[in-house]
Amino acid sequence: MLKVYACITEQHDIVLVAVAAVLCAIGAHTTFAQLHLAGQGNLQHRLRWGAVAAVTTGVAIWATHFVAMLAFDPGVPSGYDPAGTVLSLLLPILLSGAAFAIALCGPGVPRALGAGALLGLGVGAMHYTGMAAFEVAGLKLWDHGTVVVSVVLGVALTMAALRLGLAAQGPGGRLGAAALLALGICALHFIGMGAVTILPDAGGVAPAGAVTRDRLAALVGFAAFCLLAASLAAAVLTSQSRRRRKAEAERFRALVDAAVEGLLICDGETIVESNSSAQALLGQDAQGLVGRSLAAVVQAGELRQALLDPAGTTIETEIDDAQGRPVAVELVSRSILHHRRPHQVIALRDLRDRRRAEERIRFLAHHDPLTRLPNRAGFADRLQRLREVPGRAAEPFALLALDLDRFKVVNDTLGHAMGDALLVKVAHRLRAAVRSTDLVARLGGDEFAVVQFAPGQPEAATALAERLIDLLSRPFLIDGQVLNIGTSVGIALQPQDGVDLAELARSADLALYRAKSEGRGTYRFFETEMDTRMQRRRLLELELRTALAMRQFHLLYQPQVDVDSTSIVGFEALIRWTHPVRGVVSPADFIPLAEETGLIIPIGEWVLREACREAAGWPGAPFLSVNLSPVQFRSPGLVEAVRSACALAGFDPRRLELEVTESVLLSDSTGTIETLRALKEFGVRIAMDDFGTGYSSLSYLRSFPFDKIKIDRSFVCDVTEDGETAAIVRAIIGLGRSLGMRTTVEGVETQAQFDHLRAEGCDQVQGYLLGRPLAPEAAAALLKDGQPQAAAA
Amino acid sequence: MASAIYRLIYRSVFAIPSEEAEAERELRAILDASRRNNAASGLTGALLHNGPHVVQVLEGPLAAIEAVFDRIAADVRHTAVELLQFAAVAQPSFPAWSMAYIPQGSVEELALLEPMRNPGGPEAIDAALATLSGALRRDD
Ligand SMILES: Cc1cc2nc3c(=O)[nH]c(=O)nc-3n(C[C@H](O)[C@H](O)[C@H](O)COP(=O)(O)O)c2cc1C
Repeated sequence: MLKVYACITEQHDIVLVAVAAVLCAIGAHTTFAQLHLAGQGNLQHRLRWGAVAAVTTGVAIWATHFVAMLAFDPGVPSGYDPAGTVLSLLLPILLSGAAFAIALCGPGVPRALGAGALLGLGVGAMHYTGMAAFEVAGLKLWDHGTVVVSVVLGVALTMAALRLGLAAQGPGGRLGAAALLALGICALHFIGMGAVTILPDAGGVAPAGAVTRDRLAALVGFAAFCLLAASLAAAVLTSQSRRRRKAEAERFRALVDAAVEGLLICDGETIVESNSSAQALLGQDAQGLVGRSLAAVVQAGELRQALLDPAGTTIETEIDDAQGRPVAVELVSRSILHHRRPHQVIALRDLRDRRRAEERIRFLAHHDPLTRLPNRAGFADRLQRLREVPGRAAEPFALLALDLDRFKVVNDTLGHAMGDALLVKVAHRLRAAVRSTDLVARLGGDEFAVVQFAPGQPEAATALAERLIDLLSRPFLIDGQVLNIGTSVGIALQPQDGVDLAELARSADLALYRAKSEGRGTYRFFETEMDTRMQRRRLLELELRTALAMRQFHLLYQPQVDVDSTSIVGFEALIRWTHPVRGVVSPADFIPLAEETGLIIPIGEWVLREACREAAGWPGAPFLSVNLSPVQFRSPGLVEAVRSACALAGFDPRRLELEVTESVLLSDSTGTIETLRALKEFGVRIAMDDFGTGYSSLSYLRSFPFDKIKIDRSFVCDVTEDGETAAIVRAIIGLGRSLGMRTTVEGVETQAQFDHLRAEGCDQVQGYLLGRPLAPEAAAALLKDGQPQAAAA
Repeated sequence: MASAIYRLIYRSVFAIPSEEAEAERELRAILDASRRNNAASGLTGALLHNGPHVVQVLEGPLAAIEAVFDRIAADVRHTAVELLQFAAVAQPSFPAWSMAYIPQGSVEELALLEPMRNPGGPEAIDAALATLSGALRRDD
């Protein structure tokens, strides 16, 4: 050691030694910076930076040696053998290259130690080949013990350096490693220098062919310094830009992962990037997706092709999620530059939420929220879809149209809440009555429909209709109340009663109409005859509308005769319709339709005006009876119509007698009674018409002071033969008398009937016996001539 | 205030005709369901089977009665359901039975129906039911 110390202090220029040490330290630091960089990339990157580090390290060792040699004064002329010098540069480069190859191929302490040993040997090889190429004018005497010490110590230090440097996590560890490496290089060099003793040659001339030591050394030292500095700078810049790129990539990742949509980036068919949404949607982690083919996500080849087209596209399709369940997605693709090469980015938009919302909206649009049954739209839609099921299209089915009986009464008297609760229970019973393959719908209000898919019609539909009627006729219990409703059912069979739903529904409705008009709580099948009758009705309605305008109506007048005097006291105005093709149409055939359609109101007004006009100037001023329909009482203008008819014709209202039926009083009676009172105040007399046919309730007679009771013609036929009928007629006449009402009997055709009624005390009679309905001129003439023939006999 | 006890009595026509064994099985199923459900919802009562007819008495809170009747009235295993009584009562007649079964022939249906048909009033019905539950007690 002393020898080494003496060698450094006595034979070396201490300033240059320091320069060499600095150079060595910079080289060692660069080595580790580059090794660190090399450790963070793919194979190609590792190789590249491993090689750079090997050159850097080799040059650093070599340059340290040369500068240190510059500081060395052998005391005799000296120079360098070029070949040996070059070899002394190549050897450390090759050996450190081998060392780094081992170190960079994988982790582990043995590798690091092995690599360190190789590197140390490289330092040693450099030093001793360099010394061999150092030619002096003298003899180099070697102390072999010291040589061994230098190599062992150098190798130990480089091993420690790599052991520490390769495992280092931060720059501190790497600095320590660099210091160890630098120490190793220096130690080997200076101990090695202490191992040599140069004996000057007596001849004392510089070796031939050797390059002058000083100039070369300075040049090499400077060049090496520049190289190392550049190398270090490169390493620093590279690692900085790598850090920046890494930060940028992380920012990009964060952004991409924050996207709600799934994103896949494809290079050709291969997925090279995915974000967390895509991973979640597909149930894969990043590793599971990257490197896979797009075919793993989108199976259909043509879809894939369209997506990968650089023009980009938007597709709605289904893909499989992690569990293999289909997921509705929208795929949007577009081409981007990724790593400076065109890639395709594919956005996966999960449509499940949107589909659920759409489903919900569809449900709401197609269902009745109260009963949750399909509504009219939903019914048509469901039926359509059921019929699209293969093999089902040709299957016959029955359409049952239901209309609840008495539901409106419940709704009106007990309130909508009760009505709603009832509808929910009705829906429940209907569902219980059908099979799961059948269809129940609420078409609106209290209308329901059932579609029954069953062979063996009409028996199956009959059984179902009976079941439905039975179920809905059972009582309903709501909030402690018992509600009794029922249903009428109209049935149409596909295909004979209609092929499409609209036609079938019309047929079922016609059948329902029939069921309702024939007593409710029952069912009817559609019959073609219903259809033609319905069409006849529609035609008739059309013709009725034109009849008024075309003046196809006229009036006839039937005499009413006083029983005691047998003189005519009045006439009943009767309407006739002369149809241009069918001739005279009976009022029985068109009045009900006119009432149903509301046409009775203008027709009734015309009758009033026309009768008053025609009868105004008749001699003897007989009274005039005009029939009023209950429908006219529902129109607010009735009283005014009567008033203006009298005024226009100059007809005395006291001669006018209005005939109403019991059904007038049946509907809302307070309004009706007010109207009747207003008419009576105006001077008009009111007669109860057709008494004995309807409810014949005495309370009706008591509810209003009628002037007259007209006993229906049906009592007259057997009044002479049937004791019971005679008793009824007698009772009514007696009742009229007790209430101060006169009685008239209609339909008197025989003298026997007339005599009988006279005996019972009836006031007036009307009928063929006393006179047929007459044209206005004939009526006027009759009044002039005198009394009807038959009664006078 | 304890919630009121209601009683519902109805008569219907049992709709499983043809085979004796099958009718028996169906009736068993109805009774099993009745006992299970009625016990759970605090209902008691009796089911009387006579000829083609079934007469059922159900007693309990109003809501429970209405709920079970919703199911019974939607059941197609019987037809022509006819309500005989639905009213609040002071005392249940069958407090010990979730659904007592009175099989064919054991009681004259008329014994129960007669007071309901004729204007005997609620007292007459109560009396008839008391007789019936008395008979059940003796049988047990
Ligand atoms: C005549 C008759 C009486 C019935 N009585 C009852 C009853 O008291 N309680 C009951 O829960 N179900 C009764 N049911 C059965 C119901 O209609 C329905 O089938 C049953 O409550 C369904 O119950 P589950 O879903 O528990 O099977 C009766 C059925 C019939 C035909």
